[in-house]
Amino acid sequence: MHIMEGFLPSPWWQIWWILALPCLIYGLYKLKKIMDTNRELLPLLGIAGGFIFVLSALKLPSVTGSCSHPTGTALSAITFGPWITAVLGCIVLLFQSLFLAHGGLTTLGANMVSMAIVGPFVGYYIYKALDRLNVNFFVNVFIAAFLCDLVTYCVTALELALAFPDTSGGLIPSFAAFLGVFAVTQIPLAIVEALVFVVIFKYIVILKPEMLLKLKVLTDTKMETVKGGLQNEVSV
Amino acid sequence: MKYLFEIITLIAIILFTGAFLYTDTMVQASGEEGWGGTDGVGSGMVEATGYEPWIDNSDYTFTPPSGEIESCLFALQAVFGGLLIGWIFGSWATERRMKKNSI
Repeated sequence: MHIMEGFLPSPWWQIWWILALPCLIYGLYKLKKIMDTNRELLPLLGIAGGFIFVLSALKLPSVTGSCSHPTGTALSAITFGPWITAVLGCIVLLFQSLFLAHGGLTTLGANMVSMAIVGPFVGYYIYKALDRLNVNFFVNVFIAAFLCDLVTYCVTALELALAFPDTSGGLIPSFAAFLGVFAVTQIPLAIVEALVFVVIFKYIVILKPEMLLKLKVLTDTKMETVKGGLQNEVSV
Repeated sequence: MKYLFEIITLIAIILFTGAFLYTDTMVQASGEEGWGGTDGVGSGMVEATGYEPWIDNSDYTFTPPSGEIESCLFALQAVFGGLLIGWIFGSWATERRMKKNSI
């Protein structure tokens, strides 16, 4: 989903930077708050950041004949929320633009908006909404993680379409063309990524349920229900 | 079933790999060059409009001197992340086992 360096003209790269910066600053504030008050959550934060590092480094072939990579932002988005995910995503994207020539400093704002801000926002609020509707926890994680990943690529397509509208048809045909490249390739990868996160959440429920309670991912009663469903594993 | 989620994930990965192998055969048979990254395809579409990038990473920062070194750096990135995840999950699992044994 990286928009390569120099591939966004003015004023688009500045606009995306202006949108990304406040989210990053608020994310840093939220991160500092967690580091000051809830240091026991730092290992989970490390895992969340580790997943963004690992999964966004995996260039995987999709069924469409081209390659793409997962985003890995769902764990962070569901547990720590979208603001802190903006910080973690920014660190990974900065690393990739400085050392791997993937993305760039001028397009970092746009890449942050897609991978580290809008995708996680959608994932987080979908999770919260489905949680209120009492959807099964793991089904909820699957849907949220799937959308967290897929929306990232839809936003990248939109960012490119806004900067490069079709000369005859305008924004919509251009958006459809970019969506055809980014989103279609991403669907199978997003499904596998979402399944991986379901497994990860299962192990967090087994090993560190108190962290999910503290972060209000699950309430006490819901945690009991989830644990009840995992009775075999929890007792091992 | 104890490992239901793991089995479903594994089945999805196997199906996904099967679909990849099938597509790969089609791509090879058509003689076209496949398996480029979507980032590159997207950039290619932009360049097809006549647009030329106005700045390059190499203008201000390190650019991997070859594709192999780029792959190596990507692999290192994944290794660091993987080690961190494995270490934390491992310590949690050990902590849980020790707690159980002490009861």
